[in-house]
Amino acid sequence: MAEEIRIPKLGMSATEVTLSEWMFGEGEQVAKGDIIYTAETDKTTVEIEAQASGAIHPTGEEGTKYKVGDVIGTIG
Amino acid sequence: MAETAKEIDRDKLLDIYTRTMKVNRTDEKFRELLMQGKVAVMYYCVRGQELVSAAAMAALEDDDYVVCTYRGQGEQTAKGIPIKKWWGECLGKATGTCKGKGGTMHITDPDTGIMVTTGVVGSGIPIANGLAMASQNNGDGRVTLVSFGDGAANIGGFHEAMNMAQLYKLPVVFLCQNNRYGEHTAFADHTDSPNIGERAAGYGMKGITVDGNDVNQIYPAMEEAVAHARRGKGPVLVEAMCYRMMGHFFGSDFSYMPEEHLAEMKAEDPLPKLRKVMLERQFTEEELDKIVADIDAEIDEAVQHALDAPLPDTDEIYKDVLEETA
Ligand SMILES: Cc1ncc(C[n+]2csc(CCOP(=O)(O)OP(=O)(O)O)c2C)c(N)n1
Ligand SMILES: [Mg+2]
Repeated sequence: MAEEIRIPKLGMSATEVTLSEWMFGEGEQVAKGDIIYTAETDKTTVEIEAQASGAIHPTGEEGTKYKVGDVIGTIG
Repeated sequence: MAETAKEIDRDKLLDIYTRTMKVNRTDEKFRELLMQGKVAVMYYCVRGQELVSAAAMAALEDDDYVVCTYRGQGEQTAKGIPIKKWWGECLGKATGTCKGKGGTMHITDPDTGIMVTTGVVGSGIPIANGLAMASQNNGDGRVTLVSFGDGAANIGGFHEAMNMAQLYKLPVVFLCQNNRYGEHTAFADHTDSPNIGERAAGYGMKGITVDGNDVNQIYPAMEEAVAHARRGKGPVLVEAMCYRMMGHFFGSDFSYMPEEHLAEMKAEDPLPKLRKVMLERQFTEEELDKIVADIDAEIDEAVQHALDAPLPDTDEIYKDVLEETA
């Protein structure tokens, strides 16, 4: 089953997170634990790790602000 | 104290290992859910501090009292809080220990002795005195253990509570988990004290500083501290040296931690060290892996239960706030 990649909550007051950069392109293989993208709030930049292994399908746009919980891609 | 410590018996060691892995697997699962964006709550990671919590809880009796902080997952799960209720509370669901109205920073479950969890730094310390004083008055033989951080040791309430607890010989154990940082401030930048344990002398109290990454140091120290308090000899301040291996909370970066600190932290990771001790004491790889697999299965079930559970009803907002008078 495909695993959704959703925007995580990155702090007490964070409701919006900017998707800064994808580390993998469409269809590339990722392993659980690989850093798949970086996310930014007004306070911090965080590297987000894959929580599943498989082919990645990024749908979120780099440089765009998303709400916590928004789906920005899938794995598998 | 630790030099003369006898070997921890095998059953106790297995108990500590099981509690440690329960804390660790819960922490890993929580970070996974947060990274996936499946769960959006505040969570203060306990990676690196699992053994301290597990050893402390293993030294207590089931009906002893515990007071902890926002970074209290370790004490809560290691003390044996029912994990379905724990996950329910963390996810804000009606099935939680506080009916989903407390959340991760206010986990409370008196049935397992988790008396209060607070997010106000240092505030648990005087509260622990109150619980210990009640036990002293009632003669119920309980010990209260309060866990707090190195940063909390600079709060006024810490000093007041230390002085009072020693004066009245309260049955309380003060466990300072010195993870070397208070939020983003390193230990040396928030105090000139060489350590926290020595401060006990200023109150005439027994105090020690111990390696929280070595089961053969931390457990005997906790056991002795709890016994001292239970015998009516008064409180003990135990400073457990450990590392916070993640940022202050999930999602906060830790680029301010110097390279040498990160390297030192990795070398001192309590989990591989504990595993090594277990193998030396003739536990098998299979036995140890089975324990972790069983814990994982239990956690997965509890997480699913919490994800499926309902949110509290809106009329719950007015319940459990003021005492109902007839
Ligand atoms: C009275 C109070 N002051 C400040 C804060 C903000 N704050 C939250 S956690 C924290 C750091 C506390 O550090 P420490 O006691 O070492 O505990 P740790 O987080 O390392 O477990 C601070 C300053 C607070 N919650 N309460
Ligand atoms: Mg600290």
